[in-house]
Amino acid sequence: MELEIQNLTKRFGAQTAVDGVSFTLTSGVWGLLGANGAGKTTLMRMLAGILTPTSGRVLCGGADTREMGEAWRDILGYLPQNFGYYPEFTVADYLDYMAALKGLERRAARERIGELCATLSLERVYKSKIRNLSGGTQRRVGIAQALLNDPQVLILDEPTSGLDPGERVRFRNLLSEFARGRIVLISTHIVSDVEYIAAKSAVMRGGRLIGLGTTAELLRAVEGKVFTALVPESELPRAEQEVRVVSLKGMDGAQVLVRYVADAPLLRGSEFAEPRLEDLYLWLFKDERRHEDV
Amino acid sequence: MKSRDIKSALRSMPAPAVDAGHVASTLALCRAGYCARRPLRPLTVRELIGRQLRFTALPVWLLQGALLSVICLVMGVSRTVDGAALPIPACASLSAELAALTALPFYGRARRYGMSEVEAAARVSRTRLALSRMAAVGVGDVVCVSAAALLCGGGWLDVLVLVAVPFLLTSAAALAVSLLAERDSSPFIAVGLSAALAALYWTLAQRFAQGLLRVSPSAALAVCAAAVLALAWEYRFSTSEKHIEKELGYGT
Repeated sequence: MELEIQNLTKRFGAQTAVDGVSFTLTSGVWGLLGANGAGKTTLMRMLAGILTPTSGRVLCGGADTREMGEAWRDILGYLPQNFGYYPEFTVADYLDYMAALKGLERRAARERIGELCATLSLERVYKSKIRNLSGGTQRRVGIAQALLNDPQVLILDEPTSGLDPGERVRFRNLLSEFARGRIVLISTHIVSDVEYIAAKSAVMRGGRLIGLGTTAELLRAVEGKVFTALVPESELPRAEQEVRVVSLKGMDGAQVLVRYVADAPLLRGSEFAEPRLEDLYLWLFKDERRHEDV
Repeated sequence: MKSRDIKSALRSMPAPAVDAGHVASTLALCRAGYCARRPLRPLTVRELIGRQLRFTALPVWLLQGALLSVICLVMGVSRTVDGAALPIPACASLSAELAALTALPFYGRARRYGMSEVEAAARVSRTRLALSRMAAVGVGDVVCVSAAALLCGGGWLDVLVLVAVPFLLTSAAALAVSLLAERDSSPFIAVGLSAALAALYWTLAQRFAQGLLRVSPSAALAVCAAAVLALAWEYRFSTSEKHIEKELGYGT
């Protein structure tokens, strides 16, 4: 299965949200990384057929997804970033409702809902009102609706936000298993999720695609740029001013182990560290971070 | 190089013989690809509308049922109490307007509760979904408007002027407000506007019923046609790309 994105562009008036993005998604889990406003959600919405591209197209097995219409949406699962529901809905109502919109037969829908509730541990809350559930459980209900039609292409926008660590691990395993022979595209700010399950990732900035490849390929951009250094607690504020800190870990003797990304070792006693996606993320989006800091 | 020259050059080039084996393997691949595709289960209009009954139409029908009950009760009481007879034309108009208002909670509901995105990505297209909902909810509207028409009791012009016109005008106004106003304030503005329309029509029907009924049938039909056109345009707009972009917060 192949999904070919060809020169996809979306403009809203003078503003370009997605600018000539082209790449081909093959079977497996794909990560979509980018800071807020990078155009990830708009790209996903265009893939899901919610927004019409200003130019460019998406081909599924050679066919234009817009021309495929219902046939495309029939093989698509989509979880939006903001999970909405009607206030009177129970989990059962919500899944029934979505099954109807996805065109599932009643009996097939009931079976599928049962399976998904078991897989996503929703059996206990099946009759509960969604508004009374925790954020993590609501997210699991959202994931269940995306999987209802057994999609060949699954697009998940921030699927792990609100899930506790145990739920995230279970979800990652579920996705890895589910992605066999299918395309799964997930965007998340929790970079470690992508690192664990995504075979390949695409990185976006300012509406453009700035990186594409396996985690190892992407990490080449920060090879030799990730360091760790032991810094006395008293010098930490100065160190934080000088370098882009990835993480801090308190050590014995009033010292802090600082992990940072920089072109060269800037702190005394710095040692090279094995790069991770998180380092790459901070390296690529250092400017966005600074704007947020301001 | 002219196209004529290109064509003659191509004709003079030796063409490789067609390999029957390659053709057969290409055909086999095409057949396998076709057979491996997921068959699309047909969704009939009846099924589509039927599946909107439980979640969309039923709450509106319940509201409309309650409205009909209240109307019957009020009319019954007014007939049994001496000197308390209600003005029938005004009651018929008000019933039609209230019937139009019962659909108000259903307008823009997906937008209010953040369901637009998942609904738009589901198999059923936005247009088909909007039409099936309109059809499902419309059944209740037809019942209510018929009841108001019976209540009106006059000829077809009475029904047109006192029932159809207020029903269609209120529906068009309420839907327009719910589409164009801000998400949080739209239900309140729509209710306010519809209440103003209802008060206006009540006054007109109560005090100037005879004057209203002297309106030419073609003028009444023209008002109805304009309201129907406005409703059709509003439904079309509600499924447009521009509207979904607004719902999703682009350009705000």
